[in-house]
Amino acid sequence: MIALTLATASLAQAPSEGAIEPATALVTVPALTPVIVRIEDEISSKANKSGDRFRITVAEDVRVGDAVVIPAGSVGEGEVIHAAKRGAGGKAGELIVMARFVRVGDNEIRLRSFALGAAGTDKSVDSLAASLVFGPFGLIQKGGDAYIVRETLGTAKTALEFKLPVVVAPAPVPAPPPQIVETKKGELSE
Amino acid sequence: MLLAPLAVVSQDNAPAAAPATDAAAAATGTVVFFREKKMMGAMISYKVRENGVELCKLSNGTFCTVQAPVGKHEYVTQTEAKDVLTLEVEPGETYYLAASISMGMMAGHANLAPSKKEDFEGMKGKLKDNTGKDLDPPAAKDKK
Repeated sequence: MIALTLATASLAQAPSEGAIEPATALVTVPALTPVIVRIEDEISSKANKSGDRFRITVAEDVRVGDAVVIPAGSVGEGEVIHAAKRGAGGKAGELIVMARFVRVGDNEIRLRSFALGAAGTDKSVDSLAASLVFGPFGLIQKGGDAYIVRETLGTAKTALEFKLPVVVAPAPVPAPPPQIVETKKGELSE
Repeated sequence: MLLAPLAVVSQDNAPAAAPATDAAAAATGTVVFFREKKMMGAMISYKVRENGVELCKLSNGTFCTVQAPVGKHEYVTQTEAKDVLTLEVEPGETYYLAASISMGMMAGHANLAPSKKEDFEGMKGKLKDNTGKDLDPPAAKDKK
C-alpha cells in the first residue's frame, strides 16, 4: 500500500527568507522618495496669510519594495509661504504653499519638493478699460482671489533618508503545495 | 471658486532616488523671473531686488534666471507701489515667477506672481534673456 505524507503545515507557515517582521524591522526610505499628498483644508488669499498651517494627508501608500512604510491616511502639515490679497487696479490674489511633514507613528517625516502656487484672475485690463471711462475710479476694479481647494493632490518627496518600521509587511511567500511522499504501507506521515 | 489653474511653482530637477548626500550638496535652487510681452505697461521697466540687491531687470518681453541659496527669499519690485513675493527655495529646484504690470495712478504697478514651467516654456521663444544685464553693482544701491 502506498501511504501519503504531507509536508508540515508549520513548515509552510514559517517566516520565509527575506520576509520582514512587522513592528520590529526598519526599512531605509531614501531621500527624495515620492509621497503623494492631499490638501485637507481650503486655502485662499482672502482668508489665509503667510505662516498659516494647513492639514495634509498621504493619498497613497508609500512603499519600499513591497513593504508599506508610510501608509495612506498618515496626517501632516503644510505651510502658506506667500499670501497676497487681491488689490485695486485689477491685481489678483496670490498663494504659494508647501508641504512640511507627515507623521508616521512617532516619526515626523520632513517633506520637500511640493510647492503649489495659485493666482486669481488678473483684471488689470478690465481696470484699464474702466479707467478710460471712469477715470481714477477704474482703479477700484479688483482682481480675483486665489484659492487652493480641498483634496488638491500633489507630489512631495522625503527630504532626508529615514529608517522607518514596516507598517504592513510584504505578503508572505505562498506555501509550497503539499508534497506527496511514499512511505510504508498504512502509515500516514506528516 | 478656483479662479486660475493651480500652478506647480517648482519643478524638481533632482533624480527621484538620488543619495541624500547629493541632495544636500545642491545648496541652491533656480528662480526664473519672466515678463510676457504685452501692450499694457510696455514702456515701463522695473527691477527685482532682494535686500536692496538688484537681481533682474524686467522690461517688456524679457526673462532672467537667478541662482538662489536654499531658504526663504523676499523678492521686491517697485514702481509707484511696492510688491513683495515670498518664496522658499529648495535645493535643485526651479521656480517660475511671472511679472506683470497692473493699473496704477501715474505709472503701472509692478507685480510678481507664482507661475509654472509650462507658462514660461510656452513663451520663452519670444522673450529676451536679460540675465545679469542692466544691473547696478550691489555697492551702488540707488532707487532706480
